[in-house]
Amino acid sequence: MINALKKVPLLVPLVLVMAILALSTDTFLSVGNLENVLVAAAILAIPGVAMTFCLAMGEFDLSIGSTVSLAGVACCSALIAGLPLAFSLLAALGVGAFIGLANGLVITKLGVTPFIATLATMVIVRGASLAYTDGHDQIVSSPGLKYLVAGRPLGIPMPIVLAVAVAALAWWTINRTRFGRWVCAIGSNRDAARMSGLPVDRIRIAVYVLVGLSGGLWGLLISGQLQKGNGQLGLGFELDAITVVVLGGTALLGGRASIIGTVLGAVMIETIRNGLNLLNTPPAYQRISVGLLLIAALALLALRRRERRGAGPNRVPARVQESAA
Amino acid sequence: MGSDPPLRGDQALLEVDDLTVEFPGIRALDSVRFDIRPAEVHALVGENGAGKSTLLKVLGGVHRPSSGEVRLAGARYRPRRPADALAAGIAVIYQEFNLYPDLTVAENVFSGREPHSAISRGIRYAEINRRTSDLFTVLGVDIDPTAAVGGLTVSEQQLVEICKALSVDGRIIVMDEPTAALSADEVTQLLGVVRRLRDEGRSVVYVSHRLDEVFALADRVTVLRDGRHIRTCDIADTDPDGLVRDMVGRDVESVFHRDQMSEGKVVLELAGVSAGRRLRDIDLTVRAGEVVGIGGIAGAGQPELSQLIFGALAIDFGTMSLNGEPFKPRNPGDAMARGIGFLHEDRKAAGNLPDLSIRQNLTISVLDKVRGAFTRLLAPAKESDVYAGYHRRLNVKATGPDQLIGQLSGGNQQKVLLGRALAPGGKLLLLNEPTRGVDIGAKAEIHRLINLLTADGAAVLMVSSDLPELLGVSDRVYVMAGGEIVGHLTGDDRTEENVVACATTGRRVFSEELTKR
Repeated sequence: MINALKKVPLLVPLVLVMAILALSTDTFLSVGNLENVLVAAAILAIPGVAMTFCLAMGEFDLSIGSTVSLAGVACCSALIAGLPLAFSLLAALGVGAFIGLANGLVITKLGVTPFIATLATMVIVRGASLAYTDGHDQIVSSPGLKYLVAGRPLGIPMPIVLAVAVAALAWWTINRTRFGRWVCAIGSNRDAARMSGLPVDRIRIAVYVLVGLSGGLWGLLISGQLQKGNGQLGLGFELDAITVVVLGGTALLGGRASIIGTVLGAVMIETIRNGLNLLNTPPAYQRISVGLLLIAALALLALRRRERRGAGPNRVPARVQESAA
Repeated sequence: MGSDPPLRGDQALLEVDDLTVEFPGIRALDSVRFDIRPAEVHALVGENGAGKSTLLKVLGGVHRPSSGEVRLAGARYRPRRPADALAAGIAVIYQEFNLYPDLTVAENVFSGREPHSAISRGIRYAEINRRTSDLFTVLGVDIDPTAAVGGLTVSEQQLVEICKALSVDGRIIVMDEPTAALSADEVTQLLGVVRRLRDEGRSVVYVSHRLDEVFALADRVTVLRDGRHIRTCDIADTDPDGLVRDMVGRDVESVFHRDQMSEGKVVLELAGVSAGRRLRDIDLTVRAGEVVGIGGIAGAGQPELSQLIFGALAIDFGTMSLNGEPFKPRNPGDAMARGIGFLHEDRKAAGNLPDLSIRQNLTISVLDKVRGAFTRLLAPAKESDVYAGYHRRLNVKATGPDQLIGQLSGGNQQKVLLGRALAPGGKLLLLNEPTRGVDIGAKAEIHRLINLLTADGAAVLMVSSDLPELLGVSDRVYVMAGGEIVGHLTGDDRTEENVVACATTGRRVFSEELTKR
């Protein structure tokens, strides 16, 4: 139990926040409200899980919010043009994957730092989305697209099914596959990874494609919810996606990944948002609270990292016993 | 342990009494005593993890003691931050320099204490440049105060750090492994500088693994082991064997012992290889079962040569062949697939994966070997088997395979990384500075391992700036200067004089030609 708490430190504050909300509001613990929280958390967890790979690799992707917009627009305009649903969904995912590939190539082949490269694609993609829609909503009425967010296979809300599947696959990848180990190795020391024979650039590109794909899926969920696409969707979403990862304990400097932490981070953010809503706090304050959370989580991580790794190579001379050979 | 000469209080400039430093779960220093007299060079020796760095960091105001006392000129000395230590005249030069590469030498020397104009607040550049240049004159070296520090050699950067210590009028200058990354020439220069400091009346605490330097330089020596004070004595009262015994607590067999090699077939051959301005027209062969050393002053292209063979540096001209077949690796992955193992000279920058466990550090290059045949997933049991095999051969001291590599001592980190280089099972090993910053016990073990590997038929190309190691472990030695090979020494030609002469004077010595004559 104590071990579990150490691995997922977010558990304690999360339970605390929930307890406070349960006591201070009448509605928080209602089944309908809890389901709202979990569905919102599930939608946020999907890009969060992909972003976990990126942060574990020591990098991040600011363009995901714009990807949400362009992917939603791609799907909606395909539907409006009368193309089949499956094609429209694939168009959105394809847009996401393409943006990810572009990010990956610019970063690895042109040597642009991730911060600047994805900041630039963020603006470019947002601009493309605005230009394509000319500022108008692309309104659709698609039960198929709606099913992605509102469907209930076996009575379970579809976003939760998707998030659980994505998170399980990601956990498996990080902890049980060569690719996951490689990602953490690159995040820990990229030069050492290269000198260990790892195909570093290919791995980095793959991770950006993953994040792009997740942005595409996120766009489908958002557009499905609203039954429209436009150039304004997904504004500021990149911060949400990064915040849930950091809240979950995946260090911003890379080397480690906690998928369970990311999922709980998404639950945490959406619980706080929901609580602020129930307490009639204006939306502007919700933004402030997300920003504050990000800073608090980073400060805690920095503290833990200092404890774990030491400031220098020989800061804590470990006196060790011979382990059983 | 040994008997110490009695300390007279009036003689000591700085006294450390009963000093204990504890970290969570670890006692890094245990009732240690130590003292520094005016105008002496006091060597501090011990294996990695003996507590030398902790002691330095207490003196430098980085760590605070759990108990015990430090007195400076009779008064209690309790620095709370590095600036306090500097203000008290104690300057600690750590192994990793605290320099700004983009600033000039003079800006670095006066960083944080820049004299400036009262009105415009502008830095008085003429003044700091002149004062810096005066300090270098005192040190007897010639470095341009207006040069950017990033463009200097490691040894020049070291001198900038020393200059910084002088600029605050440091009475006690503490140097942590100052020669770890220096070539033989630069070491000689540094030893001269240290002697000048002493002649000026300053005291120097000199931490080094290299006992030849200790004996060339020190007035007294203190040995630490496992956080305890073992012995302090005049240098004349001990000898290298005695110091080694004190450091490891047992007798160590002769460090450099190489079995007779039996010449095998050619594994690696380079013909006319060039890469940019860094490597020019390199011809070189390595045979199975032999250790080929590469020497020369730092910056002559040795690490670049091994990186080129490993596919990390592009080849412009010339050809390479491996086991008789053409060989042109595009990246390290290619080279590994052809059976080449590589050890980087800089553990911290390009070796350790600090967030990963020692087992994960060891297997990172061979994850294909530890995957399930059908599932393609990592199989922890197979991974543990690979680890267990190397763990036994390398004698890594750790609490277990899941310990983080950063928590090990330098020598044990190096053994893990050596295991990583061996794990692909290659027949050609490129080892850069295999024992840099490694304690004597681990050094001997690594040399023994190299010996075993070549006895098994592996070919080893070893870059080393440690002359006794280079000459003792290698069967043949190539010497590099300015990106070229300027010497090839075999048999009785393998002498320190020949290596140094080739590396520094432009003389060329090629053994084959000598034997032909």
